[in-house]
Amino acid sequence: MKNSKSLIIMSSLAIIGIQCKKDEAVVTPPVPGHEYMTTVKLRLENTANPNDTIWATWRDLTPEDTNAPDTSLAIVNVKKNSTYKLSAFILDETHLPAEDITEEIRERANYHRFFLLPSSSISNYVVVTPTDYDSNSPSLQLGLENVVTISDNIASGRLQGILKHQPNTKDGTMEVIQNYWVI
Amino acid sequence: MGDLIKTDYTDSLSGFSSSNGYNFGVEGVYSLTKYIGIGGSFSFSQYGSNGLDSLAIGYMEDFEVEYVTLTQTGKYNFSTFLVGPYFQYPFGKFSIEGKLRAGLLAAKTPKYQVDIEDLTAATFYQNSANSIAFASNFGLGLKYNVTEKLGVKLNADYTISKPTFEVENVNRLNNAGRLIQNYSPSISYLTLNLGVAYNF
Repeated sequence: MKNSKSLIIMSSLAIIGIQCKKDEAVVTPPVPGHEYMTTVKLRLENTANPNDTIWATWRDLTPEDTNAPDTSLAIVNVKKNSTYKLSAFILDETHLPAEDITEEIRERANYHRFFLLPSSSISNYVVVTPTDYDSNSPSLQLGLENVVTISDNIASGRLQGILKHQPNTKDGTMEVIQNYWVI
Repeated sequence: MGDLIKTDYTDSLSGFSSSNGYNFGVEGVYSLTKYIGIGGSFSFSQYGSNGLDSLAIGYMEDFEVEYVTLTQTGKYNFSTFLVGPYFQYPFGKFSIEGKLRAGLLAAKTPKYQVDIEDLTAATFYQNSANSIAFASNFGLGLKYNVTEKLGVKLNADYTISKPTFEVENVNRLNNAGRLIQNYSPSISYLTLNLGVAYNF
């Protein structure tokens, strides 16, 4: 047999029904169910005296209506010239048992930030320094664990707690507010 | 299609590719004897998307948001350049052909855009990536010679490769959610082709 050459032009059997597809696909899945954050608890432990431990609780068990939150347990008396270790806990108490959302926030620290902001009347006398960090690069503060320094001239004031959910926007600033509480 | 057709968000090898696509190409064979030849081919294949819902839901859960819009632009494209021996067995107007080839696969991945709710600043991108890798292929063919010069041919080819893609991600501000940077999926795909053969 003499040597021969052959040229074969191939086209796919699967071409039908495929070529009419667009070059772009867009999907938007349905919205999932909601989760409430009804309760914020702050635990303050005097670093010089662990027996001096106090709690503050802010609670709104009806988050979807206009009822005012219960702030009767949100008042604390702290000692002058002292340092407290402050831990924040966030709960959903709309069902039993209550759900502790704090751990979930910790697990998702890379796009959450809890701020505690002293009001103007005490802002010069109360310094809140977060001690916990996320795993972003560089690391950013989370704010569930803090050291609070109280100076000698402390007066009455408010500490505002703000939890920020900043999906792919967390940069250490307070941009994008999605949830907040006032304590 | 190997790893590419996986649609598991938690599996970093998942490619969310459709298992169906199209393929076309050109093939040349030089017959050394009645039964043995040497040849090569160029072919192009394209595959769309599949399971993008699970990818979007994964981002929703990982960023704990109410909605995500995921946009895929482009498709998986594979171009192969293969050479190797051909084995043929003619009987009457038919001939059966087997081939074992190796060469290069040039692959391209689609681009993904992830919009998180209406937070414009949060939008991030996984850009399209290219890679060239070694590829091996074996196949079977059945040719029918309509005339001495002209015939039709049915080919079934199985291609295997493992390209590595360096994937560029844009605006990934936080370390959260599925992040693909070095993507090295196992790729295997079967193409069925009907072609026209011309004998010189």
